[in-house]
Amino acid sequence: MAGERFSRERHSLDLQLILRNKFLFALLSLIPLVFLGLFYFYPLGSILALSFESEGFLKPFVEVFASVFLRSIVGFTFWQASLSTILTLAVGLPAAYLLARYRFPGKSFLRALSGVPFVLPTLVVAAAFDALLGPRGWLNLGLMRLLNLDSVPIHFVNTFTAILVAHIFYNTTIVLRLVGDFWGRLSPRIEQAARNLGANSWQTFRHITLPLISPALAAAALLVYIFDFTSFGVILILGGPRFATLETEIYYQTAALFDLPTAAALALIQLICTLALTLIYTGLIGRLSRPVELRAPRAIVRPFSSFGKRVAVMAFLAALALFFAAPLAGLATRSITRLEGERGQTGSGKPGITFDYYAALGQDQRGNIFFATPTEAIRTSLIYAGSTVFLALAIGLPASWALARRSYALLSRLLDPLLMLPLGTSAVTLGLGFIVALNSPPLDLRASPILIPLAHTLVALPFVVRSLAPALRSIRPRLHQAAAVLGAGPAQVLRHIDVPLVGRALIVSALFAFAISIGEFGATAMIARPEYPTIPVLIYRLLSQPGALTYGQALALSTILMLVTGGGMLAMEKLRVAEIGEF
Amino acid sequence: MLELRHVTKSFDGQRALSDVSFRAKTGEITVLLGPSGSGKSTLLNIVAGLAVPERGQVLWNEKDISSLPVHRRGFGLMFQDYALFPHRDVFGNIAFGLQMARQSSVRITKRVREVLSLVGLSNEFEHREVSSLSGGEQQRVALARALAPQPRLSMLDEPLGSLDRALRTRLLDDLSTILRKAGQTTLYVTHDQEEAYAIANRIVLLRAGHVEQVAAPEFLYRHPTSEFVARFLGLENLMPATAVRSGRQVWLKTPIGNLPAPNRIANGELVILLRPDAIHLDKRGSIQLKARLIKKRFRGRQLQARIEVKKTRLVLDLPSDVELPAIGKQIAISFDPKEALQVFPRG
Repeated sequence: MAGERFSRERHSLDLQLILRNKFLFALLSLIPLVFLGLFYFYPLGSILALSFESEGFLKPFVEVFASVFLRSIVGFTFWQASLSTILTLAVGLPAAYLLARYRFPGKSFLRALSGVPFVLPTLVVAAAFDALLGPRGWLNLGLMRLLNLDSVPIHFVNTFTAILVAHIFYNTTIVLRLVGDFWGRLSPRIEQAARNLGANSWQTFRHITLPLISPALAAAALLVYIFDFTSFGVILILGGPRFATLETEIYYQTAALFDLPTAAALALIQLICTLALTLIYTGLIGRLSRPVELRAPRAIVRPFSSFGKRVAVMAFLAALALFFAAPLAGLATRSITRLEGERGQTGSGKPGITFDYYAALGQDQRGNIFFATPTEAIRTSLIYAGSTVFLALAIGLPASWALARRSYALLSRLLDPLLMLPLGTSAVTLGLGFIVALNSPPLDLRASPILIPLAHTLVALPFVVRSLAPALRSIRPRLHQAAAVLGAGPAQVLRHIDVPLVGRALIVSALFAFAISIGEFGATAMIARPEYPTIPVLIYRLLSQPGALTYGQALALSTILMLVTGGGMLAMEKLRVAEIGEF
Repeated sequence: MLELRHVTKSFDGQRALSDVSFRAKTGEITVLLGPSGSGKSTLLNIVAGLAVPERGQVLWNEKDISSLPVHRRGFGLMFQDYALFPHRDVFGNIAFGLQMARQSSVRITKRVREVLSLVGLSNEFEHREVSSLSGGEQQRVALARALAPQPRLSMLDEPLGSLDRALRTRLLDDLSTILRKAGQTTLYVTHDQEEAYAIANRIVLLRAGHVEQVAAPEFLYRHPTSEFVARFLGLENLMPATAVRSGRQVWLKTPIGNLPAPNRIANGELVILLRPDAIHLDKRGSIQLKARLIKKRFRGRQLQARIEVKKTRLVLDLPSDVELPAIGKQIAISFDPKEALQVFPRG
């Protein structure tokens, strides 16, 4: 074949190039491998060693399962994850169907809105729900004033409901995107054929649509399950002390009880579970590529058939939009509002719009030596985020480059799954690994401020690689040739083709790394030094303090964080080149 | 004028092109025609400067340009998969070559609009993302991009390859008009002989890396020089024959009987072509045979009849006003060997 000739030539050219650069190639793929080895496998290996140390092989597991309390934690982790997943699907599936099959005003807005919570730091979401439904939130204070109540009417924070609602809030977008997008591209002809053969609408769904969307459905459910299973901030803050999952218990055992062996055993159990779930997930994603007739979404959507249907559906969608928007709007407005009847109110402020909470960001309310002002926390976070961007790009670029070269070398074939591993590892476990492994020689980084950017880089790396590698891969030799034929010399090819194509992906990756670092809570809570809290860590501290001003500070900080991460993600959506990029 | 002299190229020790020589005249459309794997795309890459031949030269107006780098050749190439730049819109793609030539932005805008209308796209397309275009629109943009810098030579690599049949027929007409209107010297690669007939001034027929025949379309159709060419052009009524000398006359032993050779040929195993349009239903020709009518098919201006002569099936292209007997009936046919027979060595 003509094309075959050509590709054979390209292949041989590339091969020559690779051979010439073999040394460089090996060196560059070694960078990410060494990084993963030192800061992922070594810490996790240390957890493994610690949990088996001196106690015998199965001892830690026996211990965990012998303790009624720890056993109940494992049980609750599975229970809350299962229930959250089911509820998320119950909300997400009808919405996914409507988004896939109908045309209505505000459709793209709803889709974008549903994605906002997903990118927000857990602390922001927790603060947002607190600002709306908490004891000092809009609804409670409003109702108290309206009905002249002495006590808080709605008990939301520190309930199981709060955990479930926050999880639905977070993860519905996964169902919308994975299932909705797949469903939307499924040709309605298939369903019409079934109807034509005598199936009613339920039978059509049961025998035709459901089997076709089931891989997407299973993948979405599993991904939601993984996120719920390892959820940290939501459980810690909205669940409160009465609820403990593996993730929060690892934190508690480490930070409060200093019982590292028990924490390590719990981390190991969690690691096994998440790795198994991640493996199943990647398997399912692979099956998603099953050939079904897919169409461009525009050709499929239709208007509603009747007025009644239209009203019912619009009501459901409006409720959904309110569900996504209310906590965020509540947070932003609450951060600039002083209300009557705020408990422990200090100062002389009158009720109304106020920027006092923002003005007070430079104040330390407690005078504790371990206490930093919000301004200091912002500075710390910015320094960490900047370092994370640098580290993530310094490691992500060579890694993506090695991946984009396709599998010429064993090294790069190995790299692909390895780079995705941190995605399936909980942040708290990573933090524990750092504490266990990097606190003593040979790698003693205990006092080093680099520890946090290193942890953030691990979390960010899969995302960075996922946006960089496709961009690098998209520079097909054809594009170089096309530019050369049109008169572009080598320097101009670099300037007009390579830089613009990778440039956007580079900015996207940098924003990803920045947003992840600035919002990361789980690993940071484990390893941050008390005198240098990051923004999320400080929000956590402030939220658990009494006092209207501390509460206001927490909300103001959360609002800033929400705007920064939300804005970053918005910029990324805009920058993303069509066709390029993977979920 | 483009000229290739003895161009040879191998990949992994396998010969892709051997000793290819031909010329493409200025202002003409030269089609490189051949089945998959015959070396058409490799040849284009060599002319473009994307691949380097092991032996032989590429000449432009008698000057050897074999060592001129790609971007200095001033040749336009439209890729089979278009290779549009995904990060540039339609305008940005078409303007690229002009920008590389450092033309003023006023002239660039003017020229882009010019080629857009040449390929039949309105100005509204200028700011469309290339990923939002249909296959036919992408093809037009790719063509416009290749033509915009007014290349000395433009090369089109299977430009209609990935389109559906209806679109192909329409775009082929447009393409032919566009290239002729621009007086563009063109190398056009295709594996489809009908496409080649429709657009070519001259066809270079390639087979497994060498030039099999170079001719104008009509001439190629009337006078194929080998069994391969005849088969590739879709000519029917090919049959094996053995040449036997008897005195001064050479006879061809064929499945439909012994026929006198139309010209001086060597002994041995041969293939003959009995041209479908040179067989008559009367006794006009010197060779007369009895046949049985098997099938008739009305084809507008033509009537195609399938007949059987001594268990060999033949096709006849007849004028459509000819009266044919019923299917299964005997008919008499005749032809003149000099007019109707062509003889090729076998293989």
